[in-house]
Amino acid sequence: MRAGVRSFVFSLVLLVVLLAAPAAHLASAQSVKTGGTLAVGLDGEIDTIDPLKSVTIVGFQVYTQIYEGLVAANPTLDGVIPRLADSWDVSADGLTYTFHLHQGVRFHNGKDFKAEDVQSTFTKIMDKDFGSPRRPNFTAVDHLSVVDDSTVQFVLAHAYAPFLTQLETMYIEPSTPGIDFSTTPVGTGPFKFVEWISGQHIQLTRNPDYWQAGQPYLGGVEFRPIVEPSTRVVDLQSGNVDLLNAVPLKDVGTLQQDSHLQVWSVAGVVRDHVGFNNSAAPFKDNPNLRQAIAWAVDRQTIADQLLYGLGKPAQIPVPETNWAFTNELNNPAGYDLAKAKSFYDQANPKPSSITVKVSPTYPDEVKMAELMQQSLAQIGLDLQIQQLEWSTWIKDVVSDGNYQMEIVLISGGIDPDDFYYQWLHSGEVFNLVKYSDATMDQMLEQARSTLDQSQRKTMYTQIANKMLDDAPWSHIIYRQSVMAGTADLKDFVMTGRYDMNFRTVWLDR
Amino acid sequence: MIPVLLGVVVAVFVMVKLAPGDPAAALLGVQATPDELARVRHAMGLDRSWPEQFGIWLMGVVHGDLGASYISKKPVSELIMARLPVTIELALIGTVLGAVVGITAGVVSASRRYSRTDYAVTILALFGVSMPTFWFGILLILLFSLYLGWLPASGFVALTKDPVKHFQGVIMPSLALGIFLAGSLARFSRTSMVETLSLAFVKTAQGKGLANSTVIWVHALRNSLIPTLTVLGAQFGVLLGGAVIVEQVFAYPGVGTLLLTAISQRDYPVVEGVVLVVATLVVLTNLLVDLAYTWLDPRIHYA
Repeated sequence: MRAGVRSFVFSLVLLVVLLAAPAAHLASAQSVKTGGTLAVGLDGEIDTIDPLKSVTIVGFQVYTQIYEGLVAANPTLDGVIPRLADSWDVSADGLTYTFHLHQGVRFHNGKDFKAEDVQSTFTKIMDKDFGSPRRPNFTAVDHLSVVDDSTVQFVLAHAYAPFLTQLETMYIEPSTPGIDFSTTPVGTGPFKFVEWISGQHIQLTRNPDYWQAGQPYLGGVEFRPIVEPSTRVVDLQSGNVDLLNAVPLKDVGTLQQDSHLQVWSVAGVVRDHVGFNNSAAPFKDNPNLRQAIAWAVDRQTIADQLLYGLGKPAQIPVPETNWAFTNELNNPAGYDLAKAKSFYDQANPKPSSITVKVSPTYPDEVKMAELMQQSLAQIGLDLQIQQLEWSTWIKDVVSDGNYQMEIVLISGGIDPDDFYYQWLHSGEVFNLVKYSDATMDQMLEQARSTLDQSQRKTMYTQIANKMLDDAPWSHIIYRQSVMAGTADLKDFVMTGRYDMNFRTVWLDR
Repeated sequence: MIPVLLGVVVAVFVMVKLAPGDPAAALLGVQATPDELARVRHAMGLDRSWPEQFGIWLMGVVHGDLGASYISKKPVSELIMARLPVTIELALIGTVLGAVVGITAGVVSASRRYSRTDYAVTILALFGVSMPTFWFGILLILLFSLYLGWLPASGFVALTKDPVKHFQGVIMPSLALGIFLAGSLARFSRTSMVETLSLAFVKTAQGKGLANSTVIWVHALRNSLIPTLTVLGAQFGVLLGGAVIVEQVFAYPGVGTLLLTAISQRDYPVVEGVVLVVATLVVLTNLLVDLAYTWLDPRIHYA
């Protein structure tokens, strides 16, 4: 009976949505205004405009206007959608991916987009001397073959489920020789490069030959680096810019009350954790000490007060929006100082003092450490907070493993493998908690080489539970991603990793 | 001057080398493998010994070559030359503003000692000196951009592109820079003017029946300017330091933002180049101030 009611309600909702959708689309389509330049305030200067080299979020936000990949991430960030490839076939063994490229696409320099461009881009990425930070994403690829002008095949060395989502990071550059992509970017995207005056602006203009007919609606985009958060916010409030890529959390409430503005807030892929050095005393082979700290983290207070309500308590790395997220957890850590004390009493060794390394580059982590310091003092454990300059923090924690405990925020990708493998598999560069467990290694390897999503979900649930039992690290918070714009900015869809897709965005002015 | 600059060159190099952080890691991102990092470090010459690196850099500096940016690969001198006029304009307007306001306030204050005007100037001068530049900048933004809506909070427009917008953009950063200078100059020029006004030649001028304003603004001012000018010269370095902060607050594309971005990206050649150029500017300014003494006081001669 209840199932029947639920089914009915679902059908009703679906019907309403289906009826409303075309009308809404029609209304939107009728009122779309074309032209105008969108001014975007960025919280920093981009590192480079070359999509094969850039490692910053601001760089990503700029070069994705100019370049496109074969596939793109969907707005919910849990899968990919076609972009320059219309479709693809995957062989039964999961080793061969054949992509059918969209016809009639042209680069901004007039060259037709063909399979040779995919090949030259791939070759560049894999060239060690070129030094692309995208290279590790494609080490599973054995080779690439050009079948014909509109068909390419990637042949993998072994089955690798995250391949498609990794392919999203391969932005195609034309094979035309002699182009310096760091100064004169040439892509197939909706906007063409005009100029980049360092410290001043990056100007893009509408690509009139864009292959998606009628798009983009905007006449151009201008990105301006405005590093000082207060200035950025006033620039938005006074209409000097139309969109901010980053909003100081403390200002979100004020901006939300301004009728001339709109604020987007979606579940992000960034989460904070407290990590333990599992390869050295006092945390090595000392699960009780790790659990004691995990139970002394007041996640709710951190979410409500430190992050102004723009966060949610976390237990596992994958966010709620990801298909691999699960609530079927056997041993989630809460905030219970009695339980923390009981774990601490059973710890062996039972240190009286522990040092946590944090970086003031991320001030929230320092505040989290201070909050934990108060909680741990109540169970008799002295937490010393050591603040390090960011690059020193990376050297100590990531490179040298010279630490006892750390707190940091990290970002994830689309596939659950991004959230687990590199952080927990033995010997991985990013296994900063120096955790090494043969069973976990095997589980992670199996999960990334299995192609069936429902099977993988079960595997990642098992991985999550093993992770919580072993507690090599403990998650604290999932962060909300927040952006803000003026009220006349229309049809902008925000994602949890701050994508800027302006193809169908328009200005109502 | 040459020994000072040589000292600066050594100090800049050592400071940059002692700073934590790895340019190769900054360039490749955190996911770089040790092999890739080693290759990039080699390409940057960071695997050579310090003396070797210093020697190569010094030879370049002597020949006017400040090297190339690790990030953009452009020549450092080109990057600096693109930004330097913006900072110099800002510093000059800030200096003129600070000097005119500060010296005028100091002279008025000195000529009306222990009056309400004198107290008001002293309090305002103290305010100017004590107010952190970035904080004053943010207050200006809140007032003129948010509440009054007169000026843009950020955004630089080239003079050749739109002179009106250019000056709209330069007003607040110059004010923020000039306020500190005005404060300190007001205090110094007041003290200096009070001393000058007690000198015999002033009494003589007054005794000759000259108007008080002529005595103060024509005769006394020039004589009281020497110590003030010394302060002005010394403050120019502080002003350039302030420009780094002010440019950041107002998103102004000068060498200050170039320096801060380079520091965050561990772009050492740019950091070294900017610090060297700024230090050279300060040294040159002090030289100009020394030369200006001879104009202000003909009794001063340099052998």
